Amino acid sequence: MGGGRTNVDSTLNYNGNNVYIGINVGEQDVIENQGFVVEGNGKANRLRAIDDTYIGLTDSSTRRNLRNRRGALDLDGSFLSNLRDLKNYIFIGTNSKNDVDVFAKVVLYDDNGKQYAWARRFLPKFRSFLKSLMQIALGLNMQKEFRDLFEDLLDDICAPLNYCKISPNETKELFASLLNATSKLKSITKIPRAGKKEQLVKSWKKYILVMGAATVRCMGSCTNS
Amino acid sequence: MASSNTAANVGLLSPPMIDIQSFSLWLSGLTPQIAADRIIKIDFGEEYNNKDKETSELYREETVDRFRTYQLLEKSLKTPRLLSRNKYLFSASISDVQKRDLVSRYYSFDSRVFRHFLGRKLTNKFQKDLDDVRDEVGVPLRSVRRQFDNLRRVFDFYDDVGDNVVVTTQTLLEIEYFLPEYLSRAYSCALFLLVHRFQLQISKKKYQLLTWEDCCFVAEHIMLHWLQRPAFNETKVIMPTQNRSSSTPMELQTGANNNNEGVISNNNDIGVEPFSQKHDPPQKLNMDNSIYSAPSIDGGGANKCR
Repeated sequence: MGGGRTNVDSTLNYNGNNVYIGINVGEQDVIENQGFVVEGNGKANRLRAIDDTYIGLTDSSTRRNLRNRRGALDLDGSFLSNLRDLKNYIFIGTNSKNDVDVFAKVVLYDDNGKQYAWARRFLPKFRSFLKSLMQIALGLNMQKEFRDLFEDLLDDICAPLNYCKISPNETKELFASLLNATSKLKSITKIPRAGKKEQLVKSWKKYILVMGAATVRCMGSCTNS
Repeated sequence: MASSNTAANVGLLSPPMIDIQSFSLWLSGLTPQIAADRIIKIDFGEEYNNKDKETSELYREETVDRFRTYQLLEKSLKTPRLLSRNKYLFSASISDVQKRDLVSRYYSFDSRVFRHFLGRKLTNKFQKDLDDVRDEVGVPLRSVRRQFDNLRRVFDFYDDVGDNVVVTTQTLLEIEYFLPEYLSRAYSCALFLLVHRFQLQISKKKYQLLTWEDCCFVAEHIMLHWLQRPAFNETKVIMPTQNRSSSTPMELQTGANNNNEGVISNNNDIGVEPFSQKHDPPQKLNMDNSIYSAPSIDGGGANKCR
């Protein structure tokens, strides 16, 4: 294998279990030695395991994301990038109030055009709630902001919901509605670039799924309502 | 011919006895005296008050002896890769299954204690303040120290190699520490929360109501959906977390009619492409805090042995 760099994700059988192996293939070949990875440049990157076998290590110089300092536990870069892009599609113009209103119509009404029972109670807080939701999404990019995720979750997401007396079941309904909201937004359905729309919608759904579950879980722990 | 007398001290050492009951009590950080008393209570039941002084003394001496044995094994338990090389333990002909059981008990933890570790740096300074954790949680200091040391050891290990390792975090812990799946997942969540240094200090009022189970629940969801590489293995594991009325796995429903067809149970349902690992939402939650602990003598976790 000459020149260029290829990312290979494969599964190897390790001690009877399939383990995930992600290899960044450098300029030279990847050699598999007794089921473990010996990576480019002929240098063996491996870790001795409990039974004196070895676990393959990636070569830090060839890691895909050099910004990443937490390796396996760092967030997905493309997911974060899509969330950044989404902001522009949800708040399109300078008059973001109109855009929020458009989004509110998508979220607060069901497919039959009927307003949800909790929508009227939640409407006054919806704008700040959505802004906070986007702010948290953008904050995931920054370690300093990401560290405050639980605080933001409690103060900016759970507190308004508790304030408006939205029950856990109604919260689930709200997040279910949010989950499908972006795919209904005209600004997103009109995206010309192939595949971009799907990427954005997929990232949004991943984001909302986690935030929804976390909100429902932590609503009872919010003291600031 | 003059005969010579030679004196020699002879020590007889029988293979070590690993008794799970006393081992659990030792892990709980109890003194031999209190532990012996607990064992007498269990063995004698209603006749506890009729026991004589000699019996108590016998129980106490036996417990002291067993605790000494466990202290000899502790170094190997801290670094399970040494377990198979421990000649003392080897003489007891303990099977691999039993060794794994011992290690999983040693690495078991009390969720209230672990909650105090979140949002803190696991430094020597914090180690000196573990008395505060003992006072707040009511767990013996020795047990708190063990849990702290275990977490710090796992954290340091991940800090050294976790950045570059190509297996999942869960697998890494299973290989290095012999941990069962539920513990390796729980430790993975703790690692995630510590590595990213989430603000979760229990000393701050706003975080006081967040339990370990809450934090672990959120961490697990993030690790399942937002990470660039899978952190968990494919196998489905019941994640032990505390039950709450509002804490059941999120069943998002589409549409207003609330029919079950719209219930989202996995990523495929929301149109997210299948990941390289199965992204199951956290499982039905269990009330028992002690689930992170190996079963103890009274059927509960080590945290009940107080």
